[in-house]
Amino acid sequence: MSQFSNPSLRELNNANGNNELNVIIDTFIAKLKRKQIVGSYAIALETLQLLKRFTSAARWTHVTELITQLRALGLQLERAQPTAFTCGNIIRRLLGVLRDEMEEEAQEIANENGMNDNNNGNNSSTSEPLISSMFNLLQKPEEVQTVTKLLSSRNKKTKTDFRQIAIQGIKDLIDEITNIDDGIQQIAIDLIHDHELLLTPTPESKTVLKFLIRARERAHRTFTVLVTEGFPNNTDSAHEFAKKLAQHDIETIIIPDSAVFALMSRVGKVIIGTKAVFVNGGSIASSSGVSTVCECAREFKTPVFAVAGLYKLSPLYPFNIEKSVEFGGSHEVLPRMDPDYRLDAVNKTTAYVPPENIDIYITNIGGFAPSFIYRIAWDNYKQVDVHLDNKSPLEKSVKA
Amino acid sequence: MSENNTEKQASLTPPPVEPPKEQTDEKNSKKDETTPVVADGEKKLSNKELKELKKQEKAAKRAAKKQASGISIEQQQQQAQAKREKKKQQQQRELQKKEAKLKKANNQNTNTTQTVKKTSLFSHLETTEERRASVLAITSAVSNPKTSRITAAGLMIPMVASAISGSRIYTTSSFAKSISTPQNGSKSNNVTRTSTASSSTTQASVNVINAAAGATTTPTTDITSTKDIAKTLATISLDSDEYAVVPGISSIVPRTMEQNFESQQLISSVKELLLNKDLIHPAISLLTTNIAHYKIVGSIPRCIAMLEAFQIVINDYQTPKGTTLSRNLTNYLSHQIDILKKARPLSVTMGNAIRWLKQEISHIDPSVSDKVAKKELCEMIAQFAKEKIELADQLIIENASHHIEDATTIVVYGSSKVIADIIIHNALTLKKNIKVIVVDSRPLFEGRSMANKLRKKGINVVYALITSLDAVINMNVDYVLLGAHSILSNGFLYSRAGTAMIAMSANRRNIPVLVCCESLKFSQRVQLDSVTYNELADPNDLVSVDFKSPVERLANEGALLKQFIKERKEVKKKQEEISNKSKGKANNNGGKNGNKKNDVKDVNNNEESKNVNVLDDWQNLQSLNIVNILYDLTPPEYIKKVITEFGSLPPSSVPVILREYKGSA
Repeated sequence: MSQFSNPSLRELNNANGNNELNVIIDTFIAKLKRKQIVGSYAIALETLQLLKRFTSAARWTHVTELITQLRALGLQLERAQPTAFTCGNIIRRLLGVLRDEMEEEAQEIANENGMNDNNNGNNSSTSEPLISSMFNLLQKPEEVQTVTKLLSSRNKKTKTDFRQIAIQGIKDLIDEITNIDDGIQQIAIDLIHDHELLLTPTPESKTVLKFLIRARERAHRTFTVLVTEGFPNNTDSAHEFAKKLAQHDIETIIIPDSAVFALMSRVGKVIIGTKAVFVNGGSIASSSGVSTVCECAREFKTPVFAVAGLYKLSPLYPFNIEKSVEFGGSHEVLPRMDPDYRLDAVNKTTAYVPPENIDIYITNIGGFAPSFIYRIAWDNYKQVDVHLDNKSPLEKSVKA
Repeated sequence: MSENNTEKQASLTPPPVEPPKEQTDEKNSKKDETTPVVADGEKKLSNKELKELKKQEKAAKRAAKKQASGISIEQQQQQAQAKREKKKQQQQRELQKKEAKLKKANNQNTNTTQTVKKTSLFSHLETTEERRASVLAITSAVSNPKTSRITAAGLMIPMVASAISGSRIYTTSSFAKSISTPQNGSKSNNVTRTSTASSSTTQASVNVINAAAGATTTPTTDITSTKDIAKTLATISLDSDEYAVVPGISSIVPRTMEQNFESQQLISSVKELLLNKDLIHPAISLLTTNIAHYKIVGSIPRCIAMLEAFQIVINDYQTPKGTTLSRNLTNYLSHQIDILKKARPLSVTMGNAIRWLKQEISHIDPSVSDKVAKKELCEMIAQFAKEKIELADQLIIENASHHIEDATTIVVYGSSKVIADIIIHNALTLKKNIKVIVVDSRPLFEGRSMANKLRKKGINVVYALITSLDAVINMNVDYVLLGAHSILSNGFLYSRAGTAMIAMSANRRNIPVLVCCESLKFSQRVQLDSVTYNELADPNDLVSVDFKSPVERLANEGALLKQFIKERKEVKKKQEEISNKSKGKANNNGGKNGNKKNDVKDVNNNEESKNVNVLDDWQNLQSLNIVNILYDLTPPEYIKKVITEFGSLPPSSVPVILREYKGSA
């Protein structure tokens, strides 16, 4: 249905003879909905592939049109799978790249136009669209200013090849995502000491796995890892995770989910992988039970550190936690049920960990306190792109 | 124990072997001198040549001496021949020794993994494997005489023990009926004991298996003749291959289990228990297996079952001559308790009940006749159970009902009889509108029975696992009701693992946590964290990722039996491979057969893959451990109230109750 909710993009593509593109988008959406692409890493890469084709096939006369189209695509994907935050993140990152480039161009144009706009030009180059002070809060958003400037120069042929820039941006993102582990590992290794007892409730996280193995093999730390089972949804992956660790000569202990509190007093650090990190510093973990584990850790004052690639950072704020958390089928929890006496069974598949239960985030660009995450988010995203369904000032002005 | 024997044998053999070894070295040089070295020597460096030459000279001198002493060259050659033969034998022996060493090393390897399998965290606790091993050894020696077993040859042969004993069938009144397997008399086992000590232990571990593997075979009652006994004894000695735990035994004890028999501590404890095995009452051994297999779970049911068994034991008890009942019965009971401990560590309720019972026994007037005393004791036990459990529960239900308002949502964890009764009482008799959220956890899944029980009474039930706790606890929960295994005297609640997590979550959200428990569960013990004292359950329960509780799984397919079959299969495969190879050499037709066999194998593999778990071979991974602890400690600050038959009190008042009501508790 979401495909039809935004007919403009579809019609646009059709009109442009880009039917093929629609097919690609539809299959991607279907995959997302059927959960055939699992894990934010895979989703991120798939999204980037889609974007690559999209940008190379899309037709536009001006960058603003490309941005509108990308926003429409982002909205479509977001509606298709609201809990696949990475899709939105990636598209927003790309939009950010394009907007930066646009600004630069606008500045150049402004410089060409003469000295009157020099002040403005300086402004836009130094300050972020971020509301950094109370003074700026009352200011007219710069975006509109640049847009008006852009509009004035609209009919001029743009110097920069935006298609090239978009594709370069996508390539850079792919590079970043595939090399994310190195950055994380270097920082994270310094956070564990020899003979430490670690606990991880997110066994499906590859980042955590790689990091632990690297800490063992490169840094030669000896430590013990407690792995919770994450029954019923993640038990298999937990077992595999533990097996892999054990094969790399890391002391590994599998514990049932219920034993976390009992052992927490011995645990030195809790490591969690994340699926999405919100601006408030809270995160979604792809294993149920993580939030309780983190709560336990908080109760025992055990430090919790979350590892997350930058692409998992989402500019959204989790106003409605229920919406961002997923639930699975009840048969996983209760395989057999007396048909005469049915009962409700709850099966949570992901968990929201509030920022107060996380001590530190290790990203590929450094470690940050949860309270600082919002700054990192605004470094990479533009405020205008947070809500893709809102008409951005750009579009408004374009229409006007 | 078998290991000991073999080791002894091994250690016996080497000494006579070693002295000749040195001699042979000399002989070596002597032999070398004759032909090959000379030829080689020319090619070698001068230093070496010199040495060789010197050697040759020496050898020549020796030969000359020998000749001088009247030994002809022929004789010398003969001697050399003999020496060569000797040397061959020596080499063979050495080879054998090496093999033995390798085997030993292998065993040791597995041993080390076994010891490593005890996590450093919980190395101070007895593992299920250890407990099970001893239970196996004992129950087999004591009970279940009429069972078939799987020998190494894959045959089903009636047990020796069964052949000898088993004429009397002893069914314990109501108790045994509740459990499907009838119990055969064990007192006649004396006979087996008279037969060699080793064989009795053998049978022990043999019988065991069916008990432990849960493969309860249908007991037959016919007495087998002495011929059969002889036959079975013969097969037993035949079976003595590497699978034997003790020489002369074959059993389906999987190897992983065998290693347990190597720890000295365990052996000594088993020995001790085996010495007293004739004293063990069948009712107790039955109870032991039931508890070990989680057929009876929960501290109160276990306590009741134990008291019932004790009633039977006391009824059957006969005071030996020269002692009095009040003196000897306690001793006799403690033998039973020793066995019972091997199933699972005693629950606090059981401990309290035992203490009380022993005290009562010691108070018995020696002048009272045994019959009267026994009757009195049985009555007292019945009364104790009624007073401390039944009536206490009623009072608790009454007390707790004051706290439950209409239209409330209650979170419960696992299964607790008192709590189920409280909810049912409130929902049905007091007509309160109650929504219950049952939180459950792996691997025991006790909450399922709780959920079903409540659902069948028409109560609104939501079922969730502990991983979904955060979702569940936010559903406008009014109370958390928790059962207890025991409450320690420093106010900590010792209960099923996971309880503490729920109490903590509730406490963080300002949801009151009420604990309902009988004062029988109060313990004098103090404990600060869940690691120091706990109960380790079988780690294999966590290996298979399914929804079966261990009880169901054990009933379906014995874990031990499975493992044994697996091991046998591997051996068979190897043997087949070897035989295939030899066949392949012999005739080409073997190829077809081989193909067929492979097909069959593939089918088997496919079938197996359905039941394959990631961690099936976790025992082989040195650094992988599975910890399955059964209990955890909830700090008193999470608990708002403890509801007992004496009323509601804060957790800090537990020692007060213990002190004030010590007479009655």
